[in-house]
Amino acid sequence: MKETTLYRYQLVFAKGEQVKYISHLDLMRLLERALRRADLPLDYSLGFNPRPKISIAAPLAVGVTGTAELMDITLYQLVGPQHLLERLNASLPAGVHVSSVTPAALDAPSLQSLVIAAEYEVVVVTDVTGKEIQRRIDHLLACDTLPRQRKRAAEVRSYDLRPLIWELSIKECQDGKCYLGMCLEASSQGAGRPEEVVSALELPVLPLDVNRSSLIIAGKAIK
Amino acid sequence: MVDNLDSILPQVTKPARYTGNEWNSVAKDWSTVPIRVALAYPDIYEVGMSNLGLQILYQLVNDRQECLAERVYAPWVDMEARMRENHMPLYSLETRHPVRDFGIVGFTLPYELNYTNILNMLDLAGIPLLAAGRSADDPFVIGGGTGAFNPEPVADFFDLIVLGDGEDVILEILDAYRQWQSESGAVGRGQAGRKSFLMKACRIPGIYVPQFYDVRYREDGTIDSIQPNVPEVSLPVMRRFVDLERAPAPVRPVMPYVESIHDRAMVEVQRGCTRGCRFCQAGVIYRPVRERSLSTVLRIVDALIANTGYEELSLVSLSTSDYSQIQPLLDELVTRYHDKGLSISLPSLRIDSFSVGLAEAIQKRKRTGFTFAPEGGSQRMRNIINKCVTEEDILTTAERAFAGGWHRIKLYFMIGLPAETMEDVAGIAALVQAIHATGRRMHRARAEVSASVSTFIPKPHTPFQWAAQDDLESLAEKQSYLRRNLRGNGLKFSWHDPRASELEAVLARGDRRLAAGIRRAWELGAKFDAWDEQLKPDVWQQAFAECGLDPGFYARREREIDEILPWDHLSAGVDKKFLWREYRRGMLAASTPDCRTGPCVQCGLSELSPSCAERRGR
Repeated sequence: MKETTLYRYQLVFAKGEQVKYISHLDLMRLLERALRRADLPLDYSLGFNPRPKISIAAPLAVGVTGTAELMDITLYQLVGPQHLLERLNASLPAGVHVSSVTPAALDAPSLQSLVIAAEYEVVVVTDVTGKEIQRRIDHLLACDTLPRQRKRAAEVRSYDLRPLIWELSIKECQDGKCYLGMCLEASSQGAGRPEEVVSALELPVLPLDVNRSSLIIAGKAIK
Repeated sequence: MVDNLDSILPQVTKPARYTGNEWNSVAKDWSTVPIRVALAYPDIYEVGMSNLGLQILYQLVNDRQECLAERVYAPWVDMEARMRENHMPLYSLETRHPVRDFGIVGFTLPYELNYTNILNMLDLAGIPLLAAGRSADDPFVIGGGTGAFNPEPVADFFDLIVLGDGEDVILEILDAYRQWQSESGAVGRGQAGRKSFLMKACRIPGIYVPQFYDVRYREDGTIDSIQPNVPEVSLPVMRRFVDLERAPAPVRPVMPYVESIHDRAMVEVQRGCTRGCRFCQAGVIYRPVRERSLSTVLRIVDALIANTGYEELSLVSLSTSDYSQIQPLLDELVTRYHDKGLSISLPSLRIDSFSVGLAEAIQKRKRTGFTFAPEGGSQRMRNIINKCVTEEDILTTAERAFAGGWHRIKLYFMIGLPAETMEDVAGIAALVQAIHATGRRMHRARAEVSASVSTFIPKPHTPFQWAAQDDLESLAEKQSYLRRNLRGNGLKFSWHDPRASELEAVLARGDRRLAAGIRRAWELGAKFDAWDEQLKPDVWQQAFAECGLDPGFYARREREIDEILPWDHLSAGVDKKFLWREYRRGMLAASTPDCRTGPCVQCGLSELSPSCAERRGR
């Protein structure tokens, strides 16, 4: 029988270039198998189809990297955080790397409910000058609403992008590349998508080069 | 190397099919490795990643220091369109090198309806389609797998074909290639250089170099002769077989990120099957039965699970209930992995209570679907095809499964079998109904029976290789009968598009003249013919017509005993006389017992196989 005491850990991890095109579900499967390879005492849900207790704060869109993503796992035996980190990293494929492990209270609220926003770094390949891009940003931020449509499978949904943009600025602009920084809402109220912002600035979305640099949890940025 | 994926991948479905970097994938440094092999599968990633054979070869080649193997799959149509738009060549997943930069490109030939994908992949790679049109800089294109036993329709596109188990022969090919590389130097190989490698390779047993054989035809379209045009080659080319117990198993399989068709650990417990079903090609070309010992299987499983973290293990073989150590194996696996949440699947079970017992032992929690394959609906038909199982066996097995807690049973059948009448087809419906009635007694409305009824395709190297395929009208009538009679709550009926079955039959028993038709169909847009929504029957019709090919000649013609078949120069080790005898016995509805339990059936293999000769001697 399993021990009844459970232990919860919060992990900060990166999803890098090599794995940025795998979906959220694929990432969950990858993590489950890595934890099994690491032979960590993973707790499983009960029922016909037992699932390991792994939860990720905010799924990353396909094609986007993340440098400080958050996940929770539950084990049925106590494992030292450093030991867990090393064991897991040795079992993770190139592109997925855990940078910190902290014990968490079993009754702490779910990660999903805590995330309110996310910071992104976006590289846009364009001949448009920095000055012009700045003008477009100023204009965009001055708008009260930014009605846009989002296509998901066959369904088209209308939404307002403006309230989802918390911050938007140029970090650097040179050699036909513009580096944008943005902070977008990521809560149950809605989540802003960086490429939607790029598209609202009438800049090219491809080639896609977006990194989520941090998640913001109740005023605190996880980096 | 291909590097502008970020412009393309955001626009395609499941982009992780095209990015590699999976756990257990091996990316070697090209500057230090002289022998480079691309292992290609002519279908999408999820299908190709489930192929055990390619995983075996991948590990074998990569375990050699001077060699590397990288994978490539057919890009789905959306990706192909983007690649063509962007002039992106077909590339390998590991290091994203263009496929044409490899020395050897090895295709597995799993299925006739993948042939156009092979052409499409060669074209995307920028490799000339015809072997005769390749120059010194092009890779050698080699083929293997089940399709190698009649590769004639695609023979013109391959430099060489490997017959039989690949474990030993792949390394022999690499040795020959290495030797040829060092002899010919890095430059100035030319056409003559290409040929000098093929001359070397054709001396290796199991290697077939199509261009070293000439085929002549008669006026009636049948084959007049198949003769070597160089003295060095063998006639027939004999297939290779390995001792499975000593053969290395792929214990570090590449693990897909995108969920593949069989996304689980696979251990091959035995190879070959001697039950002797007369329609079954695998039952001939993988003979004799070769088992792995219990301790070897367990050693492989331990390594596999440690190296993969898979939550499911599949015990692979053509008939897993026939593995002599199956019970002790399951007992031991349950003991070892009970606490680790490992589930075990048995993909091909015999129809008997023993098999239900095995399934019960491994599926303690989730008992949803139980699958078995009576293949024929009437006793007469099961005798014809030598599926030695009685109606009582089938009903008892189904009852046992329902009683064991399964409420869904899936059954596989075939229609269009030789000498089939509507009574045999009615037998399918009656049997399914009877099983469903049993299920309803135990599970009421929860009971579900699904019948998957495929169309029989006569395959080379089987007793039915001489038989005619049923015509489209008759097949449509049989399907319509089953549709009408397998209707109602808790009954499901699925079938295959007869036009796809006809195409498969044409390609399965085709000769070299079909190459033009395949090429033309591809030019007209045929690809992914195995995918219902992609199959373009009119394109094939047009292509065959333009090339003067008659599908009926290949699919719906019964052959005579003395006809030279297009694959007669390629031997699986099984005697043609045995196959003919079995065909005749089938037509008399006479069954032939399994030589594993009964007497030797004189299939011809005992002359060649040590394990078989040993059994026979006992």
